[in-house]
Amino acid sequence: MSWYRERRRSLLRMLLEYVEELERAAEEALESFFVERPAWDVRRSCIEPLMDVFIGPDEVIITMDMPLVKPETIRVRPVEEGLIEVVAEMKKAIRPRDLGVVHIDGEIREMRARARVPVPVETKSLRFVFRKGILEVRLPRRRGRASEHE
Amino acid sequence: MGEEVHVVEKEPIKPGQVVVVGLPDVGLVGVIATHYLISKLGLREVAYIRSDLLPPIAVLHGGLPHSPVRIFGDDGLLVIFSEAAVPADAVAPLSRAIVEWCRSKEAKLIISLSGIPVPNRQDIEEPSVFGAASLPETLEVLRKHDVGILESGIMVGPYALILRYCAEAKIPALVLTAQCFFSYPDPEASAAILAKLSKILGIEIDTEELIRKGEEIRLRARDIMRRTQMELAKMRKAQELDIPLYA
Repeated sequence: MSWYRERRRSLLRMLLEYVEELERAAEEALESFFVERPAWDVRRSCIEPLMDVFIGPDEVIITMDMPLVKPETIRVRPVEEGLIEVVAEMKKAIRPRDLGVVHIDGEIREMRARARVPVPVETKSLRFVFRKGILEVRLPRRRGRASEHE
Repeated sequence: MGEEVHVVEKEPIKPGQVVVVGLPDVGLVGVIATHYLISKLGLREVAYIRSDLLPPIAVLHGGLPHSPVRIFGDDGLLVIFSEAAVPADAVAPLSRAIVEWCRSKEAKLIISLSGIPVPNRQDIEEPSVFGAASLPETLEVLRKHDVGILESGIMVGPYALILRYCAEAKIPALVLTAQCFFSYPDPEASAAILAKLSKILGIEIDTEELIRKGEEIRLRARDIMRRTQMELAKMRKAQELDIPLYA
């Protein structure tokens, strides 16, 4: 019976963790959609790309529109569980003035983004390609804990 | 409903012209294409849209305020162009007002430029252009210029309503849609649609600069794209990818 109780407690803990993950992902999605903030930050010299996260049955595909970046400088890495960071240098530094913003000084030298993946994935198997200025990151979904819930 | 949106003419506008419409939609195909057209043909602002349904913004050009939705023109051609995302609630009144104004101006033909999202856009070198028409005889224009006809399916957004209202009013109208990205600005799709438009209108439009400056345009367009996506989600734009009930 103690095995049964332990197993139940373990499943319950996993379920709670999963719900927490979902809540965090939902909060972040809401924040990214509804909080008004500029896409660029001259203090950090970066601009955020447009991005999309597609959750398929076997893999998660993150795409980012990354015009004017040097393809050879693109770095994609997991920074923590379910969080992927992408950084790339711009082909040339862009001043806000170049984009018609005359009241802010500074330069944009890189494109930088963090994408939250709302389901467990195998970050070690991360693959990415860059075509037509679009970055496509593929992450296989992790089997095991997720499939127990499903 | 029509009174919520006003078209304010800055100068007398001759009747019987062709009207090209570029409002924010998937891939910003119409917006990018019409902006390029206005710039290349050197069209001047002849009218603008005034409405409390539009966002409370003024678009500054040369330090002077302008409406986000304006009408440019020259002899024989009028171009309606929006520099800001159109709120989902304003789409129907704006579309109605555009069609009523076009009717009052006895528009010869209304051509809306848009995009049709495809999941494998990255694999497509030259986006194809498809179309639909308000009247059976207007479909002939598409056939004549080798534009694939969207035989069935669902259209969502201002172009869908402009086409429907034009059909009701028996105004000849076309919607041209180029294969494009769903979430990202797509200047290549705009170039493809301008190539077809140039044939339909019988005018030359060199799209070399549009392709060359494509990356810069994508960077500039990212914010209007983001805001447009939020409005498209409210309109249930993804319905366009639904399989039609009857073909």
